[in-house]
Amino acid sequence: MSFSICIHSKEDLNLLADRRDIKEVIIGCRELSRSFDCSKEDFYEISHLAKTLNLKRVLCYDALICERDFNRVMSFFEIIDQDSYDYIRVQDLGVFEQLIELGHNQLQLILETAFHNKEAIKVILKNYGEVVSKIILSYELTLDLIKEYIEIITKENIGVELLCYGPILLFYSPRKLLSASLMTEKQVVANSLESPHKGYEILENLHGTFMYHLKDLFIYEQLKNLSIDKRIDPLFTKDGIEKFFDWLDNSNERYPKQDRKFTQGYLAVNKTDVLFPKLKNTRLNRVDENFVGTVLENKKGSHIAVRVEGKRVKKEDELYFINPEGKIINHTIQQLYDLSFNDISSAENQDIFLIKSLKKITPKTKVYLN
Amino acid sequence: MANTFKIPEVLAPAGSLDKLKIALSYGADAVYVGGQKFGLRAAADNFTNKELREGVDFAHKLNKRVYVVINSFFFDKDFEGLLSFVSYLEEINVDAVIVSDLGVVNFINSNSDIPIHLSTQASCVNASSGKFWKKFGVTRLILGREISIAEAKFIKESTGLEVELFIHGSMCMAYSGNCTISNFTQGRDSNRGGCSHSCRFEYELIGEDENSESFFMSSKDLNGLYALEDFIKAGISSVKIEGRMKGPLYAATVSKVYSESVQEFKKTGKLEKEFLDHQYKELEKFTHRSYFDGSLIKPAGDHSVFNEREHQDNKYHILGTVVDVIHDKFFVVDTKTKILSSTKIEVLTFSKGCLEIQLDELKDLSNDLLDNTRPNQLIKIPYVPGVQKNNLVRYCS
Repeated sequence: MSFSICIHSKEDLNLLADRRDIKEVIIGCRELSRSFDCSKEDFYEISHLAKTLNLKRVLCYDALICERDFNRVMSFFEIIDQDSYDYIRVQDLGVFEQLIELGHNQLQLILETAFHNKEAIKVILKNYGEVVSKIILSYELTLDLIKEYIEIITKENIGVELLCYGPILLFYSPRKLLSASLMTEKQVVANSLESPHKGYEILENLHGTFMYHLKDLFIYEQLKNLSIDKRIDPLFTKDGIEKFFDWLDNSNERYPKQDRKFTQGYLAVNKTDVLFPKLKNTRLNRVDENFVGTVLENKKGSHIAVRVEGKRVKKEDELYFINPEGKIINHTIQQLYDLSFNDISSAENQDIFLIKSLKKITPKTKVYLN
Repeated sequence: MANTFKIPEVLAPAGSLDKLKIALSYGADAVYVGGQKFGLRAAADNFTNKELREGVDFAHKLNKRVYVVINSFFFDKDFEGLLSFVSYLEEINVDAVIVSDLGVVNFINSNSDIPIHLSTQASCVNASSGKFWKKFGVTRLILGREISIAEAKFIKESTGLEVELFIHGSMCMAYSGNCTISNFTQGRDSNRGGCSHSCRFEYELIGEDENSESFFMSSKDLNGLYALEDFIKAGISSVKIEGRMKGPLYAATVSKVYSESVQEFKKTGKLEKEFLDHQYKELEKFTHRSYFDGSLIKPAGDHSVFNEREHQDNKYHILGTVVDVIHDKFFVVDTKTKILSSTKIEVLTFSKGCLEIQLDELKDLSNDLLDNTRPNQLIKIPYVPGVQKNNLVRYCS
């Protein structure tokens, strides 16, 4: 077993002292990371302690950095003692690029946002295989895709990691949104007043505002036999690391004990694969072969007005209409008029023509040549 | 006064072929559109292949451009049909594609010569990131909305790439591409066209000492009209307007306002406050959230939250479109709403201001008098010089 553990306080670290299944600890300081709140001094202390425990240390540099902050944040990074970490974990592709330029070659690249396809992953492997030691895959992937991507990535001697137990980040804004509504709070629970969703954890810090899923991701059972690093990050559970390892070592329960509920996310099936074409009335899509145009109005007992957007029409042409409800109405043109009710023999693209009124034809009905 | 600044392109949204024609007719230099797949607005009408061809032909005849969005975050199976779609886009001479995914960038670069613009969805917010994407063949960066004009200038100069920056429209509160609320709460992938706008909901915020009810994730709308001169002087390649889901009145008005403003600068070398004030009033004549200037000058702060329920409160409404003009006799409007016979209407001309017309009576095509119109009815209005086919007509309630 191989765990990557997010360490938010040195007390958490002490729990790992005798464990052999910990590959590395992820630590960070608030200037570089979106969820670690340690000062540089605290970071050094945790880093030192981790080293004495023979644990590899990953510096988490996962904030997205706008141009105005780029040099300042990079300067902060550069004064961090390089002996205090073994790897750097990064999401911002600009930071990634800059770290390579500075000669870093033990990078862990977070591909949790986008990069859901093997084409993208292969581009990273081909171009950055020399400097990337591990890829962190997205928790939007299903287990089948994860297994396929593990094979592709590990073939290049690059490691793979997935969040196994921890919060699902739903929303990352650079704006400080709690400050706009509250005087003092930097961490709140949010309940939707317009849907049943209650209990989102919201954090605000110097990188902006972060909203997390109501439930923690927990997919240990499904991942345990895969040759990947499993990330444990009980950010919102007090003593979460202790509870997790207690569950792992001693429990037959399905989940560790904690107040927050669990989800398996999209591991079994990505529910969003069923997009919503049903919201669109496909009958209103024009089918281009033989398409004539669209009905603008139908005045009962008088006329139907059609705007020609495709093929020209002429008297004696046989038309069929598909109305928004899907009903098909056939009609042969006997009389054809322009907008002044002048008799015409044909109508060209962009003309509007009139024919006699027919039942069941409403505006937006599509017109085709038979 | 002549000026030496390179005038930026005004890039408008077009959710349908009708809106493409409207935006370009009202002055936009280019439009961005979506096909039936691969974009981020699955609920928009979007374009069939035939409509794409017609749209590109229409634009090119006016010496204007069409960009096609392929900017969803692809899963492996989403590549199905991409090669034939890209080949088709190349065949019909689309001017560029807008892409957010590295795999898709690489795929298109390997299989076509179509220029690739990096979607704002990729959250490119620094020059170093721009350099990353440049290596893979991207020719233009559509920068994140978190970026100021000054930063955009720096990124352009550092990367040597064209830069495109949003100047108007609705805004994601999150870094684009970094929001999956819809995915995990509604089963709709916000990065594959299914965003359900959960950020516009009201939430109860419960802290240790303090509670609040707030639309805390809902952003005001961007309006950068007063910063347009800064855009031009910074050398921004393209000023972009959001809104493929919005209606024809929006497409017409924003295209007209921003293109007229750019042309005014081209002609005079400046944008006087009086001119901009007049144009700004036009941007108030369709429904929108409260405006602010985003992060164009300094990072968006506390004042950027639109802490109200979404509602339609504008007194200007679209009446319809002029579908034909019979010279010296009448013009015909395809109405989209109900108006009374005594209403004053305004016809938005393509190249001049508005023509105000007082309607004394309403007649349908058969010359029957109407007390009021109903949606999807053709009405005849006596001929007024200056009215052209496809002009938009609005009224003030």
